[in-house]
Amino acid sequence: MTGDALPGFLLVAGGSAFMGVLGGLLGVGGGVFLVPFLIFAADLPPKEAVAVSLCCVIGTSASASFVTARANLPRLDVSLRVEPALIIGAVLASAVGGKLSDDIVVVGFGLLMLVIIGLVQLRRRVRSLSADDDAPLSTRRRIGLVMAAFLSGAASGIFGVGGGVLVVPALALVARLPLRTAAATSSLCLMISASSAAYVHWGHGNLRPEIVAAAIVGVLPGGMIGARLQRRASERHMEIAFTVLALVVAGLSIARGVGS
Amino acid sequence: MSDDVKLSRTARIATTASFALAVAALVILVVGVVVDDAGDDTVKTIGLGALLAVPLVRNVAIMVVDRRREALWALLGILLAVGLAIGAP
Repeated sequence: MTGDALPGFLLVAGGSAFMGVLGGLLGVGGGVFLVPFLIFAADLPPKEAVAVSLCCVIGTSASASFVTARANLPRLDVSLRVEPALIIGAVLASAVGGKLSDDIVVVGFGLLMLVIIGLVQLRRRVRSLSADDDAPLSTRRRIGLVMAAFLSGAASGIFGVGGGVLVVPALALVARLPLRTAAATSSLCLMISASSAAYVHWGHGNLRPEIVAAAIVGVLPGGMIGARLQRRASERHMEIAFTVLALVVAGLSIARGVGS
Repeated sequence: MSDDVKLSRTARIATTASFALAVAALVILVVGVVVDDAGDDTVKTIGLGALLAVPLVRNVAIMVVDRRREALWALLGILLAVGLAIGAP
């Protein structure tokens, strides 16, 4: 690495670490804040930011799966059932997303943030539902899960978010999995949609390995620290903090996309 | 809880191995950033390829050793994505 490249590497690594802490602390994953950081602070084109974020999702999901698999939390049968729909959604969306203008991608990301705010509010309702860790999947539930997985894969492919904010409520609401099992199952299956979408972005020339390296170096430990801090944080305060931050990111994204 | 719906020992080992591969890929990526000359991305590309292959390796292990035929569909999906990446203009 040349001396000129070092400050850029450190900026991306440091910023990604902070975004990882934030994502882990607020329970929404690193990608939700990493993509806007890479666009607005690191000045990366939106499609490259999305591609880098997808690679980070592979790293963070592998790390989360490693931890939750040791506790035997994920449901492999559910993960394997939703993976094809996740992949189809991710591959189609990243192929379509590659043809969209950067402005449309940024405005779409802003709108997605508004949807995510609603989904985070939904988590409170999910907690009050009765759950069954061993529940078999009826045909109706399977169809619902496949549809949610397709949408989640599509959001992942176009906007670079992990998709956990969409898949976890779906696994809890539709498959009636306990929240911890749903979160563990989602990290097991989300790396596969992120990887599929990242391949398509690589083909479009959106992946810069040096940015991926810097971002993962930051976001991986950052996410772990954030998840540890989350256990001590007040849930209500975290929800308010997330809503405010997400509204700011949504506003910035929509203003940039519409204004340019 | 039935054994069918939870992770088998093989699947847990595959998950651990995929995390180890992700860490190894990250190390190769960082080494590539340091050693690759301007315009030469060989080591970085190997690291990136290894990172993207993490889920592929995990699902192959689950399908072959754990005899989970459902994993085949996800594998075909990833191979479709690889095909699209190679075939992209």
